[in-house]
Amino acid sequence: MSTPQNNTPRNTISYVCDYQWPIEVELKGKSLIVNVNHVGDIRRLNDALGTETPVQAYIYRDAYGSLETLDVDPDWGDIPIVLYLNRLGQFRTVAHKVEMLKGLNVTVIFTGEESRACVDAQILASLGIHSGIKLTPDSPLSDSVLDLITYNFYSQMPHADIEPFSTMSRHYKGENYVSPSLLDLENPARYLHVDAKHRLAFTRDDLLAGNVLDFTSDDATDTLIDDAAQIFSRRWQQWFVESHPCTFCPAFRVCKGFFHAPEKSTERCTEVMSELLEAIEFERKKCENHSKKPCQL
Amino acid sequence: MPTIIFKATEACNANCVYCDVVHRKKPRTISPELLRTAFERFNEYLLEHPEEEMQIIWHGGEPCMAGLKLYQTALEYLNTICAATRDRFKFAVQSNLTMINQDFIDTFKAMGIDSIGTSYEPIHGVRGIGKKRDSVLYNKKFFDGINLLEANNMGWGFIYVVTRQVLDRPLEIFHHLTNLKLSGGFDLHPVLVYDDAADESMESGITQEEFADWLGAVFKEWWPNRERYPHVDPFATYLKFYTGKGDGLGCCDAPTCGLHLYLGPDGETAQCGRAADWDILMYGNIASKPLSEIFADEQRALIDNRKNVLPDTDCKGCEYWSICHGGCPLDAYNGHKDFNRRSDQCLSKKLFLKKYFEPITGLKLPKPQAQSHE
Ligand SMILES: C[S@@+](CC[C@H](N)C(=O)[O-])C[C@H]1O[C@@H](n2cnc3c(N)ncnc32)[C@H](O)[C@@H]1O
Ligand code: SF4
Repeated sequence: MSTPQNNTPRNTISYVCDYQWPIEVELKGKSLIVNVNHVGDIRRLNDALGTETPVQAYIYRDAYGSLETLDVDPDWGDIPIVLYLNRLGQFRTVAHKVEMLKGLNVTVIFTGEESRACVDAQILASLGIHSGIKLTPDSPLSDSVLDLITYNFYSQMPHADIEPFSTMSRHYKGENYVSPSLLDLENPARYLHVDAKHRLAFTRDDLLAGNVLDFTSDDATDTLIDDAAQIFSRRWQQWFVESHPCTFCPAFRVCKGFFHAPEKSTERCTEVMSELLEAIEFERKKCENHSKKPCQL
Repeated sequence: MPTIIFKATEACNANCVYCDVVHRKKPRTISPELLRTAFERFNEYLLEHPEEEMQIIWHGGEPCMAGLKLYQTALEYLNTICAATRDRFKFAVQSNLTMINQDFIDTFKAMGIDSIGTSYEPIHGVRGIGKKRDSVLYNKKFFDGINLLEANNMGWGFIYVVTRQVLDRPLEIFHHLTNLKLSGGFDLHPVLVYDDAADESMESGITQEEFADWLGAVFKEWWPNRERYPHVDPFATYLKFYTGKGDGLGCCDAPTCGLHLYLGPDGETAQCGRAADWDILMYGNIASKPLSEIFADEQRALIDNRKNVLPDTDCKGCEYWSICHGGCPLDAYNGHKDFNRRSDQCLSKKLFLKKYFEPITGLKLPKPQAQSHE
């Protein structure tokens, strides 16, 4: 799931939708990201949509389920799939799925208890499977998150990407803001969330709350989308207008107030997100050094 | 290159706590006739000096308070009166951006301006619009201005003025400013408060030691993270000089003030804005004097001579001479009624470099190669 930085010109907008309405017909021809309720829907829907309606990812969420109990379909092939699962489950039962997962295009994000999720994500990543944890504004950000950041950026052992850190790192260019919300498909240059009434918003929360754009997916034009995206991408400025406490935080550039909640201390999120910023910078530097031309002597 | 600080208006829509502009009872704005004269004088000077360029900085007050018409007329004069010298003008603007609109931007761009200097403050009640000093409105309009600049591919940088109000929170302020402008692009200044300042300005005043310690606290954070936010001054400039890559000092640190000139709304000229405020080093009015005469005013020798006097007097043996040159002569005069003294601001500079910059970086200022007063 790679998303360009917020302020780059977009290539194609992908419409993020739930598979609860006839999207095959009503969003025909658009690039999609589809939330499905059943993993079994993925292959069927993908066949139905065909190449005319390209899907960037199918997202399946099971807040209580584990990878252990999930029916992984070996015929998913290279269909891009993101699974939000509570936990890994018994490793010995999962082990046989790992080889299968390696041959598929699946990312597994763990949503369960934080330290468990971190361990599970690290295990999968170490086995070469793109994984991650789901951060939310209420995440406790325990030391296990710091350990996972350390593993993702500093470990010498080869491993797959770990989200949301890898996506944030890829998008951070030193002069732009990023946030864990990239994983929630908040990126106005790339994603529009659309509901059954064809209403549009740049975030799922906005869509659910009815904070929708004044045009629908039926009459969206590039200009309308670009103008709306520009206004959305300046939302951070309101934090400065009000001199919000988060604007005084050293890690605002990689958070944008994601962890803010009234009455909540900012001490821990500042500490963890500052570590993340340093780690992202470490990786950037490493990449810059690697892209240097080898010595010709 | 002659640099003219053109205060075409003293009027301002804002009401910053430390700014003496707002205490002017009747702010003046230049008349159209005098504006014409100014451009005739600029042209005349450049024709007489075919090798030279001239920088004009629109200043204020708030430059936009002079109205769009003034800048459109200035542009017209630039294209007509100065047709033969036009290419040798470099324009700049220092604006709070809260009134800027597309018409101003088009006009400034047509003058060749591609970046605007501005000012910003997160603490409410320090900078703000109108009598109430409305900071939220200021910041909102400021961002509208920034967005418009960016939509027009124009750059911006800003001055941050350190006041008593932020003395206890250097890091928070620094992070806020670097969150606003991610790679830096601002200059940290101490608030300057003089004896005749209004009471509320007095209350914002800070001591030399306080400014040095404030900068020091910020520097501790900047130094290990300087690749994250490289463009923060005075740090970036000091670093260049300490690593032998320094080129050009700001007007307060240069060996002389060079061909700096303040041009006020009534056509009066002075060495700089501070000189005009204090009615010293006044060089006459452009309505009656050509610029070459103004630049040749013999009072300039008073400040030019400091570089010969100070190394043997106040600044004798000072290791920082090459990056300070006794500081701003107007500050020196303000403190001692004598231009041949060092500026009182020198203390904060020395303290900062000795107590923070040098121990933290492990750098020493390279010794000048030959014994020179420059
Ligand atoms: C006088 S203003 C004029 C231009 C424009 N209105 C602005 O605010 O940028 C120029 C700069 O001087 C700064 N300034 C005003 N009074 C000051 C003082 N007493 N000490 C230090 N800087 C001051 C302002 O903050 C601003 O950055
Ligand atoms: S905006 Fe500029 S000129 Fe106006 S009061 Fe503030 S500092 Fe002074």
